[in-house]
Amino acid sequence: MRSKLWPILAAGLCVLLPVIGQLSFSRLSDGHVDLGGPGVWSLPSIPDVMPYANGGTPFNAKGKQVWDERQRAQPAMDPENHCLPSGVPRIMYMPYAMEILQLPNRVVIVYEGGTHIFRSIPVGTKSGLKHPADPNPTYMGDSYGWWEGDSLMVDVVGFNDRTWLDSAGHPHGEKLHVVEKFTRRDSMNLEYTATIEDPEYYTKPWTVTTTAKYRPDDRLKEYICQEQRR
Amino acid sequence: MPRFPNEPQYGVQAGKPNFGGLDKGVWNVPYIVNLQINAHDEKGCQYIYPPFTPAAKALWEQRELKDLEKDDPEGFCLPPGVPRMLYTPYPTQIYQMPDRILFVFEGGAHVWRVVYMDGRKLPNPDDVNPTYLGYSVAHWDGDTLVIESNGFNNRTWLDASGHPHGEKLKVTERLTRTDFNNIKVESTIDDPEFYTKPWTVVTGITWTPNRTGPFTMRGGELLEYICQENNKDQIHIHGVLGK
Repeated sequence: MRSKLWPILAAGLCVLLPVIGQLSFSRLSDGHVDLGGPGVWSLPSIPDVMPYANGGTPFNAKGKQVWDERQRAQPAMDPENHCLPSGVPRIMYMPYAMEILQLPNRVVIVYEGGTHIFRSIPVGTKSGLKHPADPNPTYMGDSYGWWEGDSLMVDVVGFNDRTWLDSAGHPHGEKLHVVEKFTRRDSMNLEYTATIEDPEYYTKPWTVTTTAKYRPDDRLKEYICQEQRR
Repeated sequence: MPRFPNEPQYGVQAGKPNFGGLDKGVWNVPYIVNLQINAHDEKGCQYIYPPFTPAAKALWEQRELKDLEKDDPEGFCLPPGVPRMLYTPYPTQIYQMPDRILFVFEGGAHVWRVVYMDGRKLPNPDDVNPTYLGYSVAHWDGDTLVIESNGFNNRTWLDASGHPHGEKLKVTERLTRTDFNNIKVESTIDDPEFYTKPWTVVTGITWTPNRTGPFTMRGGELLEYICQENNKDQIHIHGVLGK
């Protein structure tokens, strides 16, 4: 009898243990979800956001025109291929790893790729959301974050118009407004949604949803894009 | 040693000096073109030359006196390396976390540098992939943060004048917040391939709070400087600084 039960028990454990392990993740002393841990988040590679966008990418006439032009010109024109920063949200689906580091009043995201750069995000309350009145346009924009339940929300404006939203060439301008939502579903999965609003190129806001996977026994490497540029 | 409000109260940082990461403001980094000016021997005399090996002296003379610094890797938007990150005149912020310290830099290609403080030891440099910023671990020595780094590649210069180093470089940086506005930075360079003995460079970084006035654009935060944005074909620059 015992000899027959063991294989079943062992098989059961093999199935259950990873599941139990995946469901658990820790919280920090301030009660917020720990978006980090001993390893790194592995980011997905998404060359074209269209399939990940709920309802497609609602181009207006100008957006469609720029898109069509880029279909003939890319990839030589893609700023990413010139080792420039990926911008937001694209940095979240360039296939390099990242870590999310939390301070009491700030979240810092450090990226292996996208030229080894970082985002430093002040975190406060939603009612405290404030951007500079006339921000200097930048690749990564001006970010402000707050917690909504167990999700980290980040509001980003102040972009320059020198990045593409993906390698396929989805355009944006300086009016781009991105609202990001980071939700740790379990120890191994980080759901990421970015709502993209840019009336210059799109008729209405649209949302991209992706997932980052945890690699608990890895650390970030040093990738310097401009090292081997010809 | 003076102490300042807003000290981090978690992990290895608990009860240790505040290095500014929880405050609004940035550390201004000085522009040190030639390390020798900030380096002194055991007697307190300024070095005329750091303790070069003959080959290192020849290499430095080639870079500085013959080539007039035109091959400086930083001119190609590559990361300045260590300790040069703190001699490259773009501000930095220092975030103290429970098990590590993170430096984020406005310049030097807008990069970050992580320093582990979870008790791990420096790796054997032969076991790690050589990198621009190396592998760094740190501990507190009283109120002084002591960072040890190795695992570097040999593709950076120690300064704009071309002081060389190789993959055997080991750097020990001692950071002390001597008063509210200053962190003293003592960097010891140990590279037997290029120097006959370790030598120490003493510099400092200065605090710029978030203040109102004509220069409010910064808002107590780093700006975004992307070196590679407008980098022209550096390798073909000639003329006054040419061959």
